[in-house]
Amino acid sequence: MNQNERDRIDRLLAAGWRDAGEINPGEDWKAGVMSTIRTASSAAEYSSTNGFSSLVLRVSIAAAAAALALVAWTLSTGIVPYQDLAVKLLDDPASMLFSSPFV
Amino acid sequence: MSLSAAYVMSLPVSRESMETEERYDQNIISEVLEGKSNEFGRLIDRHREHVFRIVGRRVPREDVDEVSHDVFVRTWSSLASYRGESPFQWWLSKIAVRTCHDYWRERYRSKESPMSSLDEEHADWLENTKAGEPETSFDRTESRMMARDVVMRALAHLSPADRAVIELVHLEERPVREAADLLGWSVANVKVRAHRSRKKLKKILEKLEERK
Repeated sequence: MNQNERDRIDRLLAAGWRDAGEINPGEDWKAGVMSTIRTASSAAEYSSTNGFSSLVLRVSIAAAAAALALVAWTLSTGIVPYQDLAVKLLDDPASMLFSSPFV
Repeated sequence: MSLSAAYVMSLPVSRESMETEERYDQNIISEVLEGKSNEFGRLIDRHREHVFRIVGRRVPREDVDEVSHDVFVRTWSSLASYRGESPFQWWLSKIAVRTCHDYWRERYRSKESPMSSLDEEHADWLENTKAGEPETSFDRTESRMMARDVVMRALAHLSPADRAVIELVHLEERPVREAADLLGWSVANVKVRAHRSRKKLKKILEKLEERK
């Protein structure tokens, strides 16, 4: 095959490839895309809400553990005023936490 | 000249009209990002034809709907990363070209043979075309379809990467820099691949001729 023939075939092949013909997707196709997007959108919202809830839960557990550790440390050390405070806290946590410290 | 500027200049519309279109796209994108997912339907309406043209050339007809569907879903999920540095349609073209490339990678990995090899009928067509069949006859749908069939079958023998480069550089006649941007590869990589893959394609077609 000479160069001219080669070029000619290349041109025709490229033109044939470029001309894939009309493809007209119907409204059903668009509805399918939108449905996938809506599903993905709801899933993303759910996961972000759920993500926040689990973060709150994790922070609460960590805070509770830290509070307990603090109480345990206070009781285990020999610092009397703090020990007294810890005993009071364990006896009646509600009034300890919500009463005014200056009464 | 930047690629996006070159892209704008290559479009058959005025710059003003292009800017208006861009603003329109930007407004829709902002609304979608604010949570109005339904507005994405307007982007689909505006760019569906463009995406189908890109995908329609690259994948078998029976898979065009599905791959185009994936293109728009990918576009939606990465919309927040669109910075507006290039026209939206150019950005969308990148996603479409890369989705088609992934389609062929997937098929290549699963060793799925997309098409049978070139046969006698294709060799006959090549022979007739070489013999100087008038180019006007190419207008006939049948001949056009045969040319497309020959290319698609020949491309099936190439790796997905070679295929993507051949499509952009040789069949669509895009500059190497543009092809590199569309694929997200380096210019050097595309240049080397373009040279190699063209040689491979030439060999495939020559083998077909030898069979005659």
